[in-house]
Amino acid sequence: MMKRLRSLKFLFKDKLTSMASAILILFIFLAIFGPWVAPFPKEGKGTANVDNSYIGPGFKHLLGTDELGRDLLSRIIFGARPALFIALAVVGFAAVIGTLLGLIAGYRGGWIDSLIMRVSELFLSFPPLLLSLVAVTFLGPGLINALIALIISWWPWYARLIRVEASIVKSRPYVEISAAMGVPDRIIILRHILRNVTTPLIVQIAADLGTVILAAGSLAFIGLGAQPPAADWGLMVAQGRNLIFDQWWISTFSGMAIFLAVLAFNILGDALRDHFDPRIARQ
Amino acid sequence: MSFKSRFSSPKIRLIAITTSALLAIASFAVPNAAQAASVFKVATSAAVTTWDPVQSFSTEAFYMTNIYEPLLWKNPDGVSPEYAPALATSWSSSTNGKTWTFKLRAGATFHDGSAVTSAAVKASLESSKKIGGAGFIWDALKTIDTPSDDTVVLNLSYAAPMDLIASSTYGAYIVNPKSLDAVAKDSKYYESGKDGGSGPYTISSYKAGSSVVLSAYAKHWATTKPAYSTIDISIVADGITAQQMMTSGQVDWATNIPLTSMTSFKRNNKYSVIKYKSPFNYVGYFNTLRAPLNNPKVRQALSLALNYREITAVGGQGYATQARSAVPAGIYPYDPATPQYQMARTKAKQLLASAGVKDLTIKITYASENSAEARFVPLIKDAFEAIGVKAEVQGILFNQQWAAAKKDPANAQDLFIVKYWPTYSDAGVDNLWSLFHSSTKPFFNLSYWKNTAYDKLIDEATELSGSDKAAAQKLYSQAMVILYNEAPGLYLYDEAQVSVVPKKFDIPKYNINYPFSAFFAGVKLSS
Repeated sequence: MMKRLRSLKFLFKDKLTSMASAILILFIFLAIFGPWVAPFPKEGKGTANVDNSYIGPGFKHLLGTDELGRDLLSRIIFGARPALFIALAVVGFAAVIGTLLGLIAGYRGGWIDSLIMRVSELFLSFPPLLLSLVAVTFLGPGLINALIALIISWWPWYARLIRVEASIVKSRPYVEISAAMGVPDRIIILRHILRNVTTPLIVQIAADLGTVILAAGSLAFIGLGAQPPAADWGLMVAQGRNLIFDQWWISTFSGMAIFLAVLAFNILGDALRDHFDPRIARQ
Repeated sequence: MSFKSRFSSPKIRLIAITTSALLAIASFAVPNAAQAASVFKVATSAAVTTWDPVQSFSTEAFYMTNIYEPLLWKNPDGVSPEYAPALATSWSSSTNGKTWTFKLRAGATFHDGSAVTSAAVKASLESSKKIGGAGFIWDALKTIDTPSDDTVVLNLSYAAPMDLIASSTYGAYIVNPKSLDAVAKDSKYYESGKDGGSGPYTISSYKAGSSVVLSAYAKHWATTKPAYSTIDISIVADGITAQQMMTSGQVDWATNIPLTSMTSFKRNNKYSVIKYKSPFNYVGYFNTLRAPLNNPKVRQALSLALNYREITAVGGQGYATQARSAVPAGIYPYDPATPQYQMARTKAKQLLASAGVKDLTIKITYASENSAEARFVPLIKDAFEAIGVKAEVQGILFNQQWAAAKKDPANAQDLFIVKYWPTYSDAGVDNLWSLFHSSTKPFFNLSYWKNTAYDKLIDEATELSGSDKAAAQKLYSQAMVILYNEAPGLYLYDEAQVSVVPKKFDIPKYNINYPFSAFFAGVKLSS
C-alpha cells in the first residue's frame, strides 16, 4: 500500500485530477506562505481600512474590498490556513479516535463491540451538521469549539468503517495463527489488522477533507464557527450576504474559494480511491 | 368562424361592451368592500418573546400596539397635540402633579366584547407595576381610585409625567381582567397566541418563529375602519431574505431591510427611502467588577482608543451620528453640551501606562443577530490592539449574551455591546437609570457599576422630571458628565430609523415613541 502511495503520479493521471492537484497545491502554498504573498497582509489578518470600503474588483484590489475596506484577495489568502487546518485537524482527530475504537470493537467483539457500536449509532442517528450545531451551541461559538463539535460528529463514521474491516481481517488464517501462537493482541492489531485497514482509511480521509471544509464554513456562516475579524471563508460569505446585490464580489469570491477547495478534495478523494482499488478504476 | 370574426359580430360586441361596462362600474362602486376583505402581507424580523402584554419588553411590541391599547398614544414628534386619546378621551393633573384623572372612552370593548372599565385599567396598571417587564415606569404610582366605571384616578408618591408614562410602548397596555386572571392561574395562557386586548386587530393565528396573522376587530371604537381586514406577517430574521420577499412581490412591505441595501432602493422608483430620528443607541458596558477595568483610567484609555468616525460610518452606513453619553440625540434629556470621547491613542497609551496595565485581554460579546454590531465590533478590536490591548470577540444570540452577563457578573464578559432604546420617550428615567444606575441584581446595568453621586443625581432627576423638567435636565446633564469622566461604558453611536416604503401604499409615519411598532390600521393603498 505504501509503495502505491509513494508514487504520486496518480495525482496527475488526467486533466481533471491534475487541475484538482494544482488547486490543492496552491491552497497549501497559500496556507503556508499567505502572510508573505498576500498583497495587503495587515488587511488579510483583519485590520480595517474603512476609507477603502466597497471598492469593486480592479487593478489595485483584484477581488475588491469588503465593508471594512480590507483587500478581499488578501482575506481569501489568509483564509486558506484556517480552512486547511480545520479540515486536517477534524479528520485527523476523528480518524484517530474512530480507528482506535473501530479496531477494539472489530478485534475484541462481544460486549465491547456492542457498546462501541451502539454509542456510534447514537451519534450517527443525527445528521452531522445538526449534531455539530448542538455541540457548538453548548460549547459556544469559535474556531476551536467548531473543531471539537465537528470531531464529535465525525468519529463514528471511522469507527464503523474500521470495525467492519477489522472484523474481516481478524478472521483471516494468518491472524488466527498468530493468535494461536500467543502473539499479543497489541502486536496483532498494529502489525496485521491496522496495516490492512489503512487503504479504506486513507480513501475515507481524502473524501472527508472537502466535506469538513464545507461543514466548518457552514458553522462560520451561521455565526457559530470562526468569529470576526478572523479570515474565514464561511464567515466572509456571511458578511457579504447582506451586500450581495450591490457588492456581489464579497460573497462570490469567498464562496468560490470554498467551492474550489471542496471540489479539489473530492476529485482527489476519487483519484485516491481509484488508485487503491483498481477494480473501481477499471469500471 | 374565426375568433376575430366571431367578435366582429355587432350583437356579440354589444354584449361584450355592456359586460365590460358593468364590471367597471362594479369595481368602482364597491372599492371599500373589496379592500375590507383584503390582505396586507408583511415581512419582519420582530420575534415574539411573549404574548403576555404585561410581561412584554421586547420586539413583540411590533404586534402589541395593534392588539392592545394604552390610555393615550403619543403622537410622532412635530405633530400637535402631543398626545392622542386611546382608551382615555380626556385627562388632567392636579397642580402639584401628584394626582392624574383619566376619563375612559365610552363604547370601548375588549376582543371578547366586554367593556373597558376603570376596574380593568386599575387591574392592568397594578399588574404591570407588580410583575411587568417594564414595571419600573410605574415607580411613582402609589394608589389607583376608580370613582366610577369611566373614571380612573392615579395617585402618585411624587410628581411624574403620567401622560407620557401612560402612553409607553411597554407596560402601559390595558388588558382584559379575564386574561389577567387566566394568566395568574396558568402562566402559559398566552403562549398559543391568545389575546386580551381592545385594539383594532386581534390575533387570528400564530406559528412560533414563523408567522402571525392579525384580523380586524369589527367592534373597535374607531370610526374609520382599517383598510385591510387581515395582516399576514411572516417572521423573517434575515434582512436580505425580507428584502427579496418585498421586491419579488411575495410581501407588500418588509420592515427589516438592511441599511447596506438603501443605496439600491434609492435608485428604485417604486420605493421611498425615508430617514427618521430614532431612539436607538449603541453602547458598550465595561465590566467594572474586574481589574483592571475597575480603574476609571483604564476605561478612559479604552474609550480614547476608538475611532468613532469609522465605527459610526461602518455601523450606521451613513445613517448614524456619534453618541453623546447613553441618551440618543433628540430624546429627553439629551444634552448637546455633554462631552464626547474622540480618538487619542497616544493619550490612551499614557493612561494605560500610568495605570500599570500590561498584557490586558478584553473579551467582547455582541448580539450575533445584529448585523450592524457584526460590522463594527472588529473595529473595536482593532482599536484596542492599536494601544496594545488584545481582544477576543464573541458573537452570540442576544438572549444568551444577556443571560450570561446577568448570571455571573464577576466571570462574565469584559465588554458587552448592546443596542438600546428607551421604554418611552424619556431616556433619563430609562437609559440613564436602566443602563448605569446601581442595582442589587443586574438587569440592564451590565457594567455592574456603582457610583453614589451618579445614583443620587439620577434619583433626584427622576423625581423632578414630572414637576420641573428643566431642573431635572440640569441634574441629568451633570450625571452624563460623570458617565463621561468615569467611563463605565463606551458611547458609540445613535442610529437613525430608515424605512423603505413601497410607493403603492400609504403607511403611517414612523413614530419615535413606538420605535419597534407598525400601526396597521392606518395602512391603505396610496391615492
